[in-house]
Amino acid sequence: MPVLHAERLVKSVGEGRAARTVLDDVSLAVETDEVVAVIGRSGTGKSTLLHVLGGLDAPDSGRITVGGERLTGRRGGALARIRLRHIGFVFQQFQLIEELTGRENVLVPTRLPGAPGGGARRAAELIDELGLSDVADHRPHELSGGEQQRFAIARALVNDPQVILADEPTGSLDAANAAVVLGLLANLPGRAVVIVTHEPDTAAIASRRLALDDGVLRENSNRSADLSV
Amino acid sequence: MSTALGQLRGALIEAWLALRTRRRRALIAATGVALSAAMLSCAVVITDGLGGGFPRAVKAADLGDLIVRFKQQRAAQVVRRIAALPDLSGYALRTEVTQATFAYRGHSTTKGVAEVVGSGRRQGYAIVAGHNLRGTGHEVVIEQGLATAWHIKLGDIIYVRYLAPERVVGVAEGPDDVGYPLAAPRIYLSRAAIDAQLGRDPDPEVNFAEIWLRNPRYLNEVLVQARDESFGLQDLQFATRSGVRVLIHEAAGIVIDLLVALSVIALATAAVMLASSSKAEVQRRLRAIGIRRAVGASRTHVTLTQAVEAMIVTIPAATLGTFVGWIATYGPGNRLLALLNEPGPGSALALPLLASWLASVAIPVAGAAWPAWTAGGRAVISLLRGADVKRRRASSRSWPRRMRGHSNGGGGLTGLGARLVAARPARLVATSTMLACSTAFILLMIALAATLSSLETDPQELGKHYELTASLPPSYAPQVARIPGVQAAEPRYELHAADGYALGEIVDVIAYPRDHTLFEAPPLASGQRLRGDGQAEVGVGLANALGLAPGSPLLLALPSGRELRLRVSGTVSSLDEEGLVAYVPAAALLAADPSAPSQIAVLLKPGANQTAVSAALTRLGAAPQAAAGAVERGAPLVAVLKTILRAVAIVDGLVCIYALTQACALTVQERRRTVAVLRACGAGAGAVRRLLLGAVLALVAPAALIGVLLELLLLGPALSQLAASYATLQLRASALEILATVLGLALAGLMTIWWVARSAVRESVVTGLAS
Repeated sequence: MPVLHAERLVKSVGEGRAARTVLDDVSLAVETDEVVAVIGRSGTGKSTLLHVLGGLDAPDSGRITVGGERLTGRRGGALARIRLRHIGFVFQQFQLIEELTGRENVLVPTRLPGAPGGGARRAAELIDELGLSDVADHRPHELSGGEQQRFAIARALVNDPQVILADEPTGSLDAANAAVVLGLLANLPGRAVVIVTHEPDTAAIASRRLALDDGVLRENSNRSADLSV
Repeated sequence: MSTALGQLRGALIEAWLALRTRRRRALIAATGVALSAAMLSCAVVITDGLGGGFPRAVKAADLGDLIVRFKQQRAAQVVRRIAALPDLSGYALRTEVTQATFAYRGHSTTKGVAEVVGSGRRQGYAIVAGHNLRGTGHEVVIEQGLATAWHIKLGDIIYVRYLAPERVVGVAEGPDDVGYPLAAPRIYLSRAAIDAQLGRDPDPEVNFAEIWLRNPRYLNEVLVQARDESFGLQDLQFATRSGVRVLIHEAAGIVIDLLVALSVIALATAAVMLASSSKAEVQRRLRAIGIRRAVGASRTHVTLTQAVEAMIVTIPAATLGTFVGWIATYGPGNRLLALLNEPGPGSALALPLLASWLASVAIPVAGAAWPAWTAGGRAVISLLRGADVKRRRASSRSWPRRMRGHSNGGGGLTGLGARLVAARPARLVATSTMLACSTAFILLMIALAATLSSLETDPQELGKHYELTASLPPSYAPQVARIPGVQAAEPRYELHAADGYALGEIVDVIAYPRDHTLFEAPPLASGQRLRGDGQAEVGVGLANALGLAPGSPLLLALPSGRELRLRVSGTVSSLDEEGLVAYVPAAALLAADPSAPSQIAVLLKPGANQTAVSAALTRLGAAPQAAAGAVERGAPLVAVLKTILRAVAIVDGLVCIYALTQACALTVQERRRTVAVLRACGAGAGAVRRLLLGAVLALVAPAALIGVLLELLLLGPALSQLAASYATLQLRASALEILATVLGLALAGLMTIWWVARSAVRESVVTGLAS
């Protein structure tokens, strides 16, 4: 059974003459241990798809389940609880909290009400595994881009979610750091990973690639075609 | 010129369009400006109204430089003595009839004061309605306080004993004393009209003279001369303008100076709040400013647009706030002034209010324009990058890394909230300062109200232990002491004497045959209690006025013309008569003045029935009276003061809530992305509230602590000293009052958390992430 299952998602943005359908009857199923890359040009709705899958945005219609729990139709607190337990986000701009050290940023989700126990231990393990122990007490502005993104990945993983949603995870990194981050995302056993990107190298790590174009999601077997901006 | 107009027009259009898209925020900002303007306006009305009350009254009434009261003398004799004074500009004589009886409809008094005045131009009182006495017919001018209390209107008839019914032709304010009901009700009658009714006396007896000097700077010299010329005049009492002012303050209670001082604090608080909130608003919009600069707008245009936008919000809000503040305090302020026989500021208040309005507009506009000007000078790219929060390397230096290493989650969400607020140290300091001042201000008002109530009703506050006085001869004391429920009864002698060296101070002399501390014992400030016939305890007020200390000689000139020489054994903190009191042995007093007036002071046993004792005293032929507090007959004054304090406190409380909410809302607004990240990680409304709890704690906790310390260590003692330098007034807030105020702050904090969290979780997480 897929850990992430989306059926017939429709999502429009804008109003009146500016209205545009960015997701048009999109369906997607992602299994555990699977890495799915959603590719497409800028502005095609990749990030919107990711936000909808993560419960950050609501589809106009359709149904999503994550870890067996229905996401669509839930509101506020219920959605937050599903995100807390089942979903981890990785953002292009890392989105680390400036006032907190790298370690504290990783610990943030473990301190949220309803977070599973053992968060501090997992945070320590993740920081160690990701090679961040030496810089764990540095503030984000004292870290390199690659280190910041690794802390962001650790934060996404700290509550042991089943689904990782990554939005252009290497978009702000140089090639060397991008390779390290991609290596991490490609090796997250027991989890389903969805990456949206317009970079061929990033999409290359995926076990399955999908292309989003004009709101329609299709299988994409071409490893390099049509990925440029 | 046309370029400037064009630029202004462009700025106006841009500002209007910007406001249209931010209606809610503009409304919130306007609310803050309105509240601050209201507070400023309250402060101005109180400060100007009360602070300037006496000078206005003096000017309106043309109060004499010197007021002299004496035992009735023929006018011709008094005129001769006055004419001998140097630098004389003019004088007026009156006959002041005390214990006068007059009545109006359901009201009557036997303790009124009828002032019989001559026909001179200068009378020492101001007509505030109707006209002055014309010297013909049955006319009377009544005091404003009496007119208000008895609802007497012009044209009404009042009845004065021994006279025909008198028609009220004018209402007056006489600043030489406070008004009814703080003092006895006063009416003014024309001597010519009295003569017409009772027969003319070519040389009437007078007991009151008001003297005007050409140059008031020579008052002291004139006073010395006046004392020399006063030989033969009995019960002589001099009062200068400043003396009258002191006298009025005695009755007005301690409060006028306090209110003026409190208003200054309120004014400073409002200024801090206005400036910080405006600055924060522009800081929030730095990115928009960057966009304008990027598309070619000049620095001047950016600043002008910001200023115009601020003006569009501020002008109506400041106008409304100023009006509301004026309405809230003008009426009660005028009622208070009327009680003090002082005129309201009237149209003279327009200028200070205009200045307050201008300040309410100018501070936010300047607060908005200056950061815009500063921002306009910054690199456009840094503004576009979202320069709303500077990435402060300094903050990492201030938190040593080895300490950060031990940190475990940054104190959770509450700690994070506190850190987000601390990332804006200037705003944190401004808001906390404002909250601290407000906390101290509110605590002070509570303490003041409690002290006023206590002074009004509790004789113990004055060190008086006896509960009753009975107007019986001293020989009745043993009989009174035998009444069931009475613990002790002794004669209490009291008279007014003058300082025998300078004759400048009137001293309330109190004497008991034995130990006076059984009946009244104001706290000893220095030295020791009197222990022999040659000793006296003096109030700190008297000690300060005459430079007395334990061991100093004290010479009192008694009304009998005899002198009483004593040595000061100690000083006492007494609120009675502004501390111009002296406790002396009865034997010494009676030796100098055997006819010294007395009553019997009655100390009851604990739990004794005061009514039953009063009834027993009445059966003995006495008119028992309960011992009074400091502001006897001051209930209306206290009521008016409470109204004023309440109005100011409400505005202050609202400003507090606004400042707290605004500070938290701005923090959340600036940190939308942080909040969005937390929500993306699974934080619900509860977690956002916890984050805000930290922010509120960071703002409120130091403010509460500083506010309490400020009141306890600085404001309370300073204002009690200011109000009564002659005694120790307890203006420090009690533990219960502190607890109540802190709970109020906590409640304001909870309201803030609820409101801001509600707004924060309504925003889409995606929008927050993209900000």
